[in-house]
Parts: sequence; structure tokens; C-alpha cells
Amino acid sequence: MKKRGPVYVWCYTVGVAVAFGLVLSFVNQLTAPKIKANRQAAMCREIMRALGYVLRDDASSEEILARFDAVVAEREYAGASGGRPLVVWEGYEETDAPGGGSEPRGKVIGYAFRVGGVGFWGPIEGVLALEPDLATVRGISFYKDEETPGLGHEINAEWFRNAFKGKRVRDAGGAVGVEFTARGKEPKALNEVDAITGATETTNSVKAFLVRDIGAFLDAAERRGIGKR
Amino acid sequence: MPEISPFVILFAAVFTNNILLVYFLGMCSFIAVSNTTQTALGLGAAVTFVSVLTAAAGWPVYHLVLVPLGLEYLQFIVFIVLIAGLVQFVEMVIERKSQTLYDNLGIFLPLITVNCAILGLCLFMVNWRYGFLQSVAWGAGSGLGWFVAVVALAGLRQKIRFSKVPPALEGPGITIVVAGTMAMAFMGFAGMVAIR
Amino acid sequence: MSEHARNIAPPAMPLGLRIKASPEYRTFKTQFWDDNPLFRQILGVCSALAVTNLVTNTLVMCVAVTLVTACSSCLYALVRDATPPRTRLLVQMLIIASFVIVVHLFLAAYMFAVSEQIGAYVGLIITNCIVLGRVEAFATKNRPWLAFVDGIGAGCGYSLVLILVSLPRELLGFGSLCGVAVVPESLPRWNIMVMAPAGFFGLAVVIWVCRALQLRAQAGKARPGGK
Repeated sequence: MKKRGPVYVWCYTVGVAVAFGLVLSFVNQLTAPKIKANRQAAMCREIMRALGYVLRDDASSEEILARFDAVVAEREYAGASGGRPLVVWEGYEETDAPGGGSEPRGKVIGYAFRVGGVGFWGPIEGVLALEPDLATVRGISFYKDEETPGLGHEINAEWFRNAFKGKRVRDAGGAVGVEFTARGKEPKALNEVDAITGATETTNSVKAFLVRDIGAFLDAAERRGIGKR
Repeated sequence: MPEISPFVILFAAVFTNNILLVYFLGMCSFIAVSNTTQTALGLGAAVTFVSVLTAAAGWPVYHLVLVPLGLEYLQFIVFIVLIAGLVQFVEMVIERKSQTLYDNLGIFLPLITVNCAILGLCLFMVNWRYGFLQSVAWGAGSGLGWFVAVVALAGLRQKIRFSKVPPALEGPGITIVVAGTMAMAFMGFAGMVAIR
Repeated sequence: MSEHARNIAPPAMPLGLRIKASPEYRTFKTQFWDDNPLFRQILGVCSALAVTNLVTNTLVMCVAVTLVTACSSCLYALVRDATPPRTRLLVQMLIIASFVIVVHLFLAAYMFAVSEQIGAYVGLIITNCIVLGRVEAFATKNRPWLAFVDGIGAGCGYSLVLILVSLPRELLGFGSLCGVAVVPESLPRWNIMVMAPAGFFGLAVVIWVCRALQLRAQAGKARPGGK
């Protein structure tokens, strides 16, 4: 191999770096919009799932985003005492009215907001949707968690999510929160849901952050008049 | 940025979120180096040192250079070049300070560059949106966690030398079984602290 | 050479033997089995433990590693003559990192759900000792096509072990295969199979079996009068 001077070494290094930089930047340009759409669609899918819209499993990101824009309106309210702003997603009835750019109109079928907190192994994130009466659960979706598979991770399972439908968010005394009781304990009070056997820590975490987040939402609803249209 | 004290992160990185036994990063050198406690100690210390420096240098490079320019997709390249540079620097320092240590570590020092634990801890600190102090604590804790795990494993391997291990399982096989048992033991720390 | 000898053509080798003698086959087989990166060289263990709890994720990871290894080896073999010796490692890392970034971006764009689960480990392919190992050991001394085959062989060897580890993990832990439920609901799931320790134990078992097979084959050859 012939000996090459320092000029060549520098030129080569810079040349290689620039060449790869260009290729990567090109690929990034190509994929960035799709990746952004994927990320947004993943969140929109969970919001719509909580609100009860039926979605095909293999729906593409574009389809999900288009449907979301047509039936869900996102509203932001200032947070309580300077805290983080509360984002509420209002789900509307599906109509055949032409969409595209305009706000969804018609009857509101539910209000969805983020719930989440620290779980047992890691953070848990979800979306809770309430009926327009702001007292009954319309649906819930836990889309991110790191809990034990088969135990805490069951919060993502169909049966656990369905158990929330129709439950009240206040107990008989008016206190906010959903209670978790042992499976098979019947009859259940209106705000009681089957707990997951063997997932005590996860269940406790979920209960804690549900109380906090539902409470925050109901407070904001009172103050900003959400649901009183 | 999550509101967690850097000290909590440091503690968690060593025990409950050990980079090696929970996230499986840094396994290759872990298995190769853990046959004597001496080398394990030396390499563990070097890895810890590099981790802290990498976290401390990586955070400003990512948040003050890549993000404002919209070049987040280049983070892999930037981090690996940073790590390679830091390892080179550490190599020079060790060679000057202690020739014996340098000779003992031998090939393992440049191999720290490809230790997935170090690149991995950078990616985690970016994904979890840590602040500067939290990142440094995370880097230090991860390095220490790796150190603790590798020294513990070296100690166990020295005992295994006197056991009758099936021939096909000798060496890496039995090391991985022991590591798995250690991972099970470390699972007992779950839920103690939250670092995200 | 006499006129007579020149006219006699050598007997044609059967196709099977010809393939076995070719450098491509030998390169592939060495990496795939004899010198398997996972159970012989113990490289690339990190991802072998992390992604094997689901077969789909495992398959994606295997394809990613195989592609990155083969393409990086091939590209480096093409440019190595022009590369000054001092910048060798830097150029190797640049090539590997670039391929990994491309794979990562494509995964996030077209297989988002999988990318969310194994994204961090795809990025870690850069430090995967298999890739750098093959580029450093093979691509520096061989022609591009053979380097490509060597990369494919290493990737396939890696895939073999990963798939063997992930099949029981998903079957026993989730009762499914590639997301499709196959085990009846009535059978309890063995949850530890999809957690950290089972990755270690599963890999140890596969190493044990493969190594035992290799040792038995070696012993068979070494025996006097053995094949």
C-alpha cells in the first residue's frame, strides 16, 4: 500500500463523512414524515379506542389520522393553579358529513384524557374516556407499561379494559376513584372493578393515578364547563 | 424532564435498573473478562470512568448541538465517535499513569468502545429526557452497576472452577446460567424506586 | 504434457461436492456453524437476550443484523484500499453506524409497532461485536463478494441461535407464535419465560446443545478409524 500524505488522510476522512452524512440526511428526509405520522397515529388509535370507536387492526397511519381529524376534537385547558395544561379529546358521533379541515360537529359521545403514573417496573400511560355525563366510564386504554407479563401487564388485556365500561368514577360517598376488588366478589358496587390476581403493586399504582387524574379532570370540568354544551 | 433526584437515579442504576442484569447491555466483555477478579476490577473501574465522562459529554452534545439543528437521527454516530474519542483519551491517561494496569487490561481497553452498555446508557438518557445532573448520575450509576455485576460474577466463576460442569457447558455456557440466576436475584429489587 | 493427456478431460464433480468445495460455501458454513458468533465466539449476546421474548421481534432483529453485517463487510472491503491505515477504525464505525441508522429509520417508518419495542436494541447493533468482528477480521483481508457471504453466514448463525431461543420463550410465556395464539387458554402461561432470566437460561441451553453436537462430531472424527 503506497504511503499517503496527511492531506490525503484529511480529504478522505472529510469526504467519507460528508458522503455518509448526505446519504443519511436523504434517508431521513424520506422517512421522517412517515415516522411522525406513525407516532401520532399510535396515540390517536389509543384515544379512539378509549372513546369506543371501532378500528381495524391493520389500519394505516394515514387512515387513523384522517378518521381522528374527522371525529375527535382536541381541546386544551389551562392547568389547575399553573400546572400542566389539561388536554381533552372530545369524541363526536360519526356522521356522513364531509370532513376535511372543519371541526367535527354533532353530538359529543365522550371525553377522553390522559391518565398515567409510576407503575411497579416502570411508568404506565393510558387514556380514559368518560361518557358525556362525566360520571361513567366509556372506555380505557393502557398503551404503555413495563409490568410483569401475565400479571401487571394484563392491564392491557381486553378483559381488563372491558371491565371498566359502564363503571362509575365516584363511589357511593361521592369520593373520586375506582375500586379494585377481588375477582368473583359479587355483587360489585358501581365503581368496583375486578383486580388482577397477583398484581397488587400494579393495581395499587393504577388506582392511585386514576384517583389523581380523574380528580384533576373533574375539577377542570367544573371550572371550565366541560361537558355542559 | 422527570422530577427525580440524581441520587435516586444513581442508586437505582446500580441495583434496581442494573444496566447489565436488567437491560442486558455490556454482556460480551462481561463474559470474556469475568474469569479473574483482578481483571474484572480493573476493567470495571475503567468502564465506570468512561461511562461518567460519556454521560457528562454526551448530554450537552445531544441537547445543545443535535437538537437545535434537528439532527437527532445522527445521535448513534455522534455518540459512538464521542465514546471512541473518550476511550482513546482514557487509554493515554492510564498508559502514562500506570504501565502495569495498562498491560493488565491489554486488549480490553479499546474494547470498551464497543461495550453496548456505554452506547446504551446514552440512548436511554436521551429517551428518558434526563437533565444534565440526572444524566451524569445515570452514567455513574450504570458504570458502577456494571462494575458490581462483573466483579460478583468473577467471584462466582472462581468457585465454579472446582465444580463438575458438563464439557459442552464449560466456559460461556455456565457463565450465562450464573448470570441468569443473578438476574433473578436482582429482580427482587423491583418496585423499590422509580427512575422515569 | 503429452497430446494424449491433454485430450482427456477430468471427470466432472457432482454438483453437491462442487458447491461444498466452493469458497462461498466454506465461508458461509464456518460462520454459520463451526465458528458460530454466538455459541462459539460469544459475540452479540446482548440483543440475543433482550429481543427473544417475541418471535416477530427476533426475526426483525435477525434480518437487521444479517443485513448490516453483510453490507458493512462488503462496503468496507470495497473501500479498504483507499482508506489510510490511521482512519481504519473510524471508517469502519462510520459505515456500520450509517447502515444501522438506515435500518432504524426504515423500521420506524414501516414497522412502527416493532420499532417501539426493539428500537433501542436496533441502535445497539452498532456496538454488536459480531458486526465489527467480521468487518475487522474478514473484510480487511478478503474480496467484497466473499465478505458479503461471510456477513450473511455470521448473520444466519446469529439468527439460528436467536430463533431457537425465542420459540420456547414466546410459546411458553405468551402461548403464541408471532402473535398468533396457539396454546389453548386452559394451559397456564409460564411468565418467567418472557422475563430477563429466561433469556439467559434459554441461551445457555442452546449453547449447551449446539456445543455438545460440535464436540460429538469432533470426537467422532478424532477416533481412530472414524470418518
